Amino acid sequence: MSWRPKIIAFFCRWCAGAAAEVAGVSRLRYDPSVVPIIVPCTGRISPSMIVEAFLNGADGVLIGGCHTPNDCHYVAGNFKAFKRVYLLKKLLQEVGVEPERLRLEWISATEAPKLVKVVNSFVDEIRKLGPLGGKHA
Amino acid sequence: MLKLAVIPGGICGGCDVALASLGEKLAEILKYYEIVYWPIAVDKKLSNLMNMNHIDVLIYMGAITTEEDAKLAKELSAKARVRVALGTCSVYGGIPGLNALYKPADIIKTISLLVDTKLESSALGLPQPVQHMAYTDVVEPEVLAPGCPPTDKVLDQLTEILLNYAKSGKLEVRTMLLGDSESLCNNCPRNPKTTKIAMPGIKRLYEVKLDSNKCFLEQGVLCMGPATRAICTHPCIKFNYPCIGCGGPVEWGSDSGLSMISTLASVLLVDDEKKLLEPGLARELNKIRDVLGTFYKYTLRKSKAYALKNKAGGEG
Amino acid sequence: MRIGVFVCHCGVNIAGTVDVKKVVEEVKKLPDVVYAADYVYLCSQPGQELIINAVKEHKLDGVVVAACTPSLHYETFAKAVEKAGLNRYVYEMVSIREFDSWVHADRALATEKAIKIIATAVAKLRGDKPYERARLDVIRKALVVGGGIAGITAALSLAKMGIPVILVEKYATIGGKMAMLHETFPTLDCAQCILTPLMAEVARHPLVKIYTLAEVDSVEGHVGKFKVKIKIRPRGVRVEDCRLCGFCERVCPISVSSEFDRGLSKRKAIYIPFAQAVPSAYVVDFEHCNRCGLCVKVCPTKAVNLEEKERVIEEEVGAIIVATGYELYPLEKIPEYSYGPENDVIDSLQFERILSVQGPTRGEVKRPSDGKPVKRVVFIQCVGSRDVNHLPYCSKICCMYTAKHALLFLENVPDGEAYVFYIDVRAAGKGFEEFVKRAQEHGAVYIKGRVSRIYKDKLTSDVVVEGFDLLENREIVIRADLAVLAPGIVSALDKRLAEMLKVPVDQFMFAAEIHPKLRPVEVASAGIFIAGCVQGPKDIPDSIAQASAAAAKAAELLIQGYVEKEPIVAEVDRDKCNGCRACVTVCPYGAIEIVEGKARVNEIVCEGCGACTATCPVGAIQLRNYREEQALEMVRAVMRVR
Repeated sequence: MSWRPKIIAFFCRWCAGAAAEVAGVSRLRYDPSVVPIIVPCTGRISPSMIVEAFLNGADGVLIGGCHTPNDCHYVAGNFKAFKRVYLLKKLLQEVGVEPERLRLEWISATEAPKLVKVVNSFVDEIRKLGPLGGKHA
Repeated sequence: MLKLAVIPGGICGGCDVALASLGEKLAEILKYYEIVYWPIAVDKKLSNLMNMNHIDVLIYMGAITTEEDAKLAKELSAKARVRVALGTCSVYGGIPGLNALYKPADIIKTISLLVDTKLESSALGLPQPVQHMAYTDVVEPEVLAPGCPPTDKVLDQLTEILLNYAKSGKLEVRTMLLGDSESLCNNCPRNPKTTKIAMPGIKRLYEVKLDSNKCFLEQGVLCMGPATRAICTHPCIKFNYPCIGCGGPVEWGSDSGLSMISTLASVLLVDDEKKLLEPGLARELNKIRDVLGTFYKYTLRKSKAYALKNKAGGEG
Repeated sequence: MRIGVFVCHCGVNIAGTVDVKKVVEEVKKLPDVVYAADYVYLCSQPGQELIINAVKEHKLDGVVVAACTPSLHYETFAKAVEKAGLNRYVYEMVSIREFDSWVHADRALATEKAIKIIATAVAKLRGDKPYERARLDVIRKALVVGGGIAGITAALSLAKMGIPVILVEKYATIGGKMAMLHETFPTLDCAQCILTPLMAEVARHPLVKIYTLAEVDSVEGHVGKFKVKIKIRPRGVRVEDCRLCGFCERVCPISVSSEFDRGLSKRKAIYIPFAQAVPSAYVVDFEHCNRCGLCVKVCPTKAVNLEEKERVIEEEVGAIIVATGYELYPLEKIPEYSYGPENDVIDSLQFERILSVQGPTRGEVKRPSDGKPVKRVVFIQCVGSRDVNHLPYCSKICCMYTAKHALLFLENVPDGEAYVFYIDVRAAGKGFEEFVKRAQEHGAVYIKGRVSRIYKDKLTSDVVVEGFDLLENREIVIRADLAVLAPGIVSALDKRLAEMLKVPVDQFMFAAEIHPKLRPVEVASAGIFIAGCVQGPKDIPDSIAQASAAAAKAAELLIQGYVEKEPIVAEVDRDKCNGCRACVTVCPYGAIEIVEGKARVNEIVCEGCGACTATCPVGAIQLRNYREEQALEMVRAVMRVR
């Protein structure tokens, strides 16, 4: 059985999550390797949640939120997500996890095609990087 | 008389000094305990200790950095009734725990680059280094006494436990983590407990004229206080130095590094986000050059970051 | 827990791609799932009955619905769950249609993903707790801060809807800056003629209570119930007894600079700001009054009371509209322009006063230094605006009022010369472009370029304006009788007032609206609305439009009479909290405060974003039904499937 990437996506309810909905309504196609978890705001996402995903076998984590500076439904949660992810990526690098395995994108509710593009390109990138930790036993 | 053994692993000497600084309280302990091993204080041989059937209380100090440390830790702990992990190295791996990122062979290689003599440990009869770990990685001690060094508060609690055990033969709770179950902010003399934390940036200690009355975070200086267990009475902070987290997380088993990374990132420049935007915020965050060393200085070995490193395979 | 999972076919929309039977089989293996079923259209009447019956029959205490997007039917199934006797917050809905069957083609992979998605819902549900929605009564009264055209409009609008309003104004009269204007662009309506009827109407309205010489001193509480303290300075004159005879003014020995005439004339220490002031009464300037008592003696109705003291009153309101207006950029910050009436370099509001029939020159264009009639005037636009050294933004109204000033001047002085230095001309409104053209056709000379220096030539008493003409590419020096500067518009809101009113502000002290496109009159603090120049520079029609909008928004909650609050907010475990204030810092709504050393969430203000939950260093504050442990379990649940 060939390896398929395991990717968790955190989408905020108001922007990226809405874009995913529109992608569905428009019957756009993207790779099923990404499982979505809807959060009220990307500001809810803690580094702990992201690390937990990797520790439990995820090969990649994708975060979709509202565009800065003004789209966040809760004013500035996206900025919190940005800062946390930025620091976490440094940590990932230091412990030997490719920082590209964690990706943060701003996707508005009207950008369903962008969501599809991001998901598909992210899955491709993870495929190239391979499973986290090399060949699974 | 109960048998008390103090076993040094990879130490700096600070825990020895801390224990010795109990001073007169040692006399109280010595009413009930005979110290059967404590290299800096007592002239007893290791061979005797290894031959003993049982030890009542074993205090292990330091991290496990060599085969010798590991052997002593395992064998002696097995025949001890009450095991105490003394000091942050013993409980969390401490600063030696940062070496857990590297293979032992690479550690030797690095050292030999700094030293003139050709270092081949076996040839010189030196103990073999192992993947650095905490005492708690090898044994599940009954008492965890963190601190670098263990503080008066922790040592007082430890003393009480030792005396109670001697008198009653029982321990109150299994796996006691000493210190107070709260973070340093709770009783910090600088916490104004009203305004929010307006963290103006990330400043190194020399870049700021430190105000001894103001919260460090509000001056742009990273203080691990919000996520660090209150094992002390804020001596560093009272001497105008921020907390660097030697007490470990508030709760045994939590990862204080990830929490503090989130807390710091969240409050940093919170009023200027829409002005600085991502590039400005990134510029400021780039001032943190060593995330592991900053947020996991003492606790890396027991952290999720370390688990992640293992998951990723390879070296850091 | 006893969880039931209900998987919808949605006809073939889901079942065509996802093997729903397999999904049902697999989700039964998830922890705490005791029942699972599929149905062709769960949202239908029989579909909902199936859920309700299953809950009762199998004694379920939690429900997961896997179907279309919650945006469509979350409420449908929530009501069904409630009908079955369960609390709606122990129910989760996930989309396996928009997020799965509609975007994937491979049956096996889509089925696996559906199971994973449901696994996250089950994991979340296992940590969910039941909650009740809170209904809060709203006090049917509004506070309007600021009595300019925006404040007056908002107050009148609310009063006409039957809502009692308190209007608080800092100065002795309402009317704001508009009362100082002569005529307004582009219609050249007399400002006072259109304003004073509104002032009279708002003063007359039985539902409006106006406090002048009043400022907000403190605000406590939250949307629906704000407790406001208002500090009222003494007027020194009983309004109901003042007959406007003016005897007091005549005998008063003290003369000071007139604020209403912007320093171009003097007034007495007992004065009326302008003839049509509302309240229609004189006022004592206690700062300059020498207590000689002459005014007390001559007042025929004994209306003057120099012993009147400051007082503080308390009011309870359900909503607050902030309409504090603007001020002009302090021109002392631009010394190269030698601003000062003594130099005959004045600002636009001062020019309005000169043009006004009730102004310091009775409407004749005479210059302040020596009263000489003005024959040549130079107008300079963008003084302080669009300038990296001062204000980076455009002040919006200056191009239009400068054109107006030039036109009015040329009509007033038929042999006059008017020059306008401009960078651009912004005339975007209805009739605005035509109006500027009209000024130019009347003879106003527009010069594209900036002015580097203005000074008064002491020998000739000319005002010398040195500038650059970009289109002719040459320096230009104009010797004029008068120079009129168009200063940048700045917010009149100060930091203390903004904090008190919980109005978030930007670096220029303009109120920060929640969303610049979609929600221009609301701020992040619930129950507080903004109107007029406090939001940004704007002209009178825009101020009126915004004020009407703010009144409508306030009325939304005041007329309904209650606010219903979703209970999915953050809560604090006081045993874990250490009062570090990180959560207080990140909350976008200011919903958290430190009480007795620990954080406390105002459940009415919290919007449930979860920023605090991810910020807390010890996990003491948690978003209900999205606690950290739940989030971690959701992640683990995905990875555990297969």
